[in-house]
Amino acid sequence: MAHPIGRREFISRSAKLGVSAVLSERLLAGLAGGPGAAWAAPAADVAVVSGGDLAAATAKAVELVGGIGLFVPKKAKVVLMPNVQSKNPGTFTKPEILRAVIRMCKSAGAAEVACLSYLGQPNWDGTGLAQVIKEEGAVLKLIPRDDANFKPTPIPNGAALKEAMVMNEFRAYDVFINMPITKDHAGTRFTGTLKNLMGLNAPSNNRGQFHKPNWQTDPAAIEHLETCIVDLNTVITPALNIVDATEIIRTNGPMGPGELIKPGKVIAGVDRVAVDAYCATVLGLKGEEIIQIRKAWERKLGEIDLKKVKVVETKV
Amino acid sequence: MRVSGRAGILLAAGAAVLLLGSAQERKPSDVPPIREPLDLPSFLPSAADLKAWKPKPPPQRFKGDDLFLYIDGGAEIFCEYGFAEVVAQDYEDPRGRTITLEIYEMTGPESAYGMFSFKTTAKGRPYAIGQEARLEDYYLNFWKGPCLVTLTGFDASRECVDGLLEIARAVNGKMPLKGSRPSLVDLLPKEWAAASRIVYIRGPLALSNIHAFFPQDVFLFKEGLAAEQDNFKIFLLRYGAPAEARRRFQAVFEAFAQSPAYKDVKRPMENYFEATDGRGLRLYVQTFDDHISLILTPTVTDRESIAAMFARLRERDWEAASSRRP
Repeated sequence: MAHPIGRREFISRSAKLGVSAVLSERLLAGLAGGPGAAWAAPAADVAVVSGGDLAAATAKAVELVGGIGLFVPKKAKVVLMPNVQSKNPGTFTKPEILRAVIRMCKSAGAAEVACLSYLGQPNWDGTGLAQVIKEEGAVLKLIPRDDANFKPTPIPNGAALKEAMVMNEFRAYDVFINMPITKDHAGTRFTGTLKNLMGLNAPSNNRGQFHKPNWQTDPAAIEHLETCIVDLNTVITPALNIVDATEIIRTNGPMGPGELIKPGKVIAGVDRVAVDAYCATVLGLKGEEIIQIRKAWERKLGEIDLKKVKVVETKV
Repeated sequence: MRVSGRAGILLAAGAAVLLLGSAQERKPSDVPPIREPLDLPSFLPSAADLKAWKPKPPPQRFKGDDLFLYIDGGAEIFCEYGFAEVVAQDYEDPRGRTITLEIYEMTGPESAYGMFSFKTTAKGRPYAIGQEARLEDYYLNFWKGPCLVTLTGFDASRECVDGLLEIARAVNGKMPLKGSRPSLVDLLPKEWAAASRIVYIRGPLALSNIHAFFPQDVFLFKEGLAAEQDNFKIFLLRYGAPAEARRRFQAVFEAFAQSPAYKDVKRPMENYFEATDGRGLRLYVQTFDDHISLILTPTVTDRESIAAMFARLRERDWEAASSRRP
């Protein structure tokens, strides 16, 4: 049975979500129902929606985890991060899902909806996502790879990574919605919400810090990479994760081409560990078998045991 | 076999020292080729070479570490196998559909074969293009000499497949290359030569993609082979010399014995042990000559059958194969 939560509890929950999800008073006032309103607890911690209509599936998934109004207040500036690493089938976030999320954010009253990326225009054009952004009146900001466009960000409890280099432009936004595609990855066997955050971190930091200098010979190199991914996740926290698990590659990730599977699911949730643990099962893996998911759970970034979270699966 | 208490701490420390000490034994695979670099753009078909497909210039070209600019998170596996340069070119048909051609020059034919074996699946249809080719639903890979060629289409339609084959054959015709696949492949018993999947591996990334034994690289092998057939996976991991293989076998055994991820670790013979993982997968591990061999199966198998499989692995013409080692 849903129970309403008050504004004080919402602020408390938001503060725990991290810098990117803490909202100003002005924005709180813009949340659905106003600052004094009560909200019903979401029906799901992890929402999994199947169905051929990806827009409807996306909307349903967001509804089940609380509705867009819970995450996007009026006048908020929202940044979305879909995956556009490659244009090969099953490797990038579907345009229909991005379109649905942009429309939801706008219907919630967002002042701006943007995608930030240090990848080039060809990536966005080749995936069809640039066209969707243009048609829906959102903004695509291409960030040059130079370190000058990224700010050193200390990681106080970093186990392997002591400092990230986060995109300067990212800090201009109020709400961050993470939109990866889940798929195989030759370096880490799996990629989902946790790894997608590397798209906000400077390429020089990704290459120079996440990989040990002697990564080809060091036996601990793979674990180091995954530990750095978790470290990065301790300083950047999405307000919401919406994952494309509709048509994805099971081999030769992250770039493909690889064997395509069609689970047909859109998955949403706030808890990145739980969402990734679920996504791992879509690829025939277990969350605890994936180093980054297990380490994120050990560092208390979320719940790895899917029996301990509310997973709601439905169809549209 | 479980080792606990102080002895366990000492063994774990010993294993760690072995692991650290052995880190220098693995050399990176990016050894520069000892021949002149190939002129990759000369292998790109022009519009005149094709019926309806036209190149969409300009091609992209990346060498060495710049591969990370092209395929970012996907570059490491190429580096593990040994990468030199890539050229990529899109081709467009009159309806605006695109096929992407990538020609990867690896550091040698064994690297090219390795990358080919890693990227292809048992479901792919073999084709007589290059030295070996496989057509999957919407993409095709072939290797020839030190080059791996990948063509990616737009769907699994007849038109797309015809386009992939046409461009692949045109590329193949422009590549006067040849090379041998790794001699390790010849060490597989005949009945495994037609296995559903055979992958030549050069390091921990490729190995962990086939089976993740540990979060760290425990095996530190020089080169290896993985084959899957029915309910079995077998791994042949080769070392520089028999003494090295025996040393590594001891370290591998200790890693299994110490890891909470494995149970029922038993070592009835000096050169053989077995274990069970958390999913109930049975592992059988043996060292012989300069190899460590592993057999994995989800079904309980009697020791005689496993011994027979290991015996078949030992029967191969080690002398002849060893004489062809690089």
